[in-house]
Amino acid sequence: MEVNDTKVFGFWVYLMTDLIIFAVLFSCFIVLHGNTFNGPSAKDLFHLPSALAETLILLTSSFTCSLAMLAVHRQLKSWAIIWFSLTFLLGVSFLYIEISEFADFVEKGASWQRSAFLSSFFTLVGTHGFHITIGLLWMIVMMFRIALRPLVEHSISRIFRMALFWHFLDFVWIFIFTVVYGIGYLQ
Amino acid sequence: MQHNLSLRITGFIASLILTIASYFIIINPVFFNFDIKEAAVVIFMLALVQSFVQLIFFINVWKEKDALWNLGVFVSTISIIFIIVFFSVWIIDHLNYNMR
Repeated sequence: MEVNDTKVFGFWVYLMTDLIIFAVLFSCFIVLHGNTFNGPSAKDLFHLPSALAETLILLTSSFTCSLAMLAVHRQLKSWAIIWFSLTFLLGVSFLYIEISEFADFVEKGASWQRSAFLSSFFTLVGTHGFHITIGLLWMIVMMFRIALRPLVEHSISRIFRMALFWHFLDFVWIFIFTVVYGIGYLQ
Repeated sequence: MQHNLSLRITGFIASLILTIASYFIIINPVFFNFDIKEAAVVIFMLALVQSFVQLIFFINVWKEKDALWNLGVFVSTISIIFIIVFFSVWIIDHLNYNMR
């Protein structure tokens, strides 16, 4: 237990440094969000209902992920896999909406090369999307682990760290929804 | 806490309500009698509440043996983030103002 606590602490320190990366990208976006170089602004581009859909999907996936962790703690393997698969599907649909949104922007001529606003937008949201992709890969590995290995203490600790990563991405997304989409759309 | 289902459901419902509330404020600030600046402040406050909901109900690192260490790293990270974000925005805003 002590060792696993230390591992969670180490992973938590990593998550906090990751949060600093996001903070830097956020301040970059906040500074540059008005510099559209006569290109499209946030209000012209953003389709708010899809941003809301992404938020609700991610919140739901965070919830199903916590249900999966409850199942893991109760040694209910099949329930854990069911809830993690649901989380995985929600994560994939989140990525699908995000990538089709990006493709739509690029098609409209609003790629990352268009203006400083769009460069910072794509960097911030793209970094988050990259984290989601890694989280999904990690989730597949953990589902195989649950299926094939016994749920002993250190195994649960590994799955717990993956779930922690997923909740962390949800935590970051809340601020992307509010600061990037929300405040961008208001102006 | 770590094994409690009803707390998870409470957190989930609270997070949905907060998100939908901020969505309606964003699409129609006039309806709530907010000007743009007030609306921005209000939705940012909602996001802060939302992040606390996530931290308390879903991110379970506060109940372990060494929870105080986790909290310590979290608080120092938040202060670093405050310094980075607040002061860069402040400085660049003033530069922008003085160079216009």
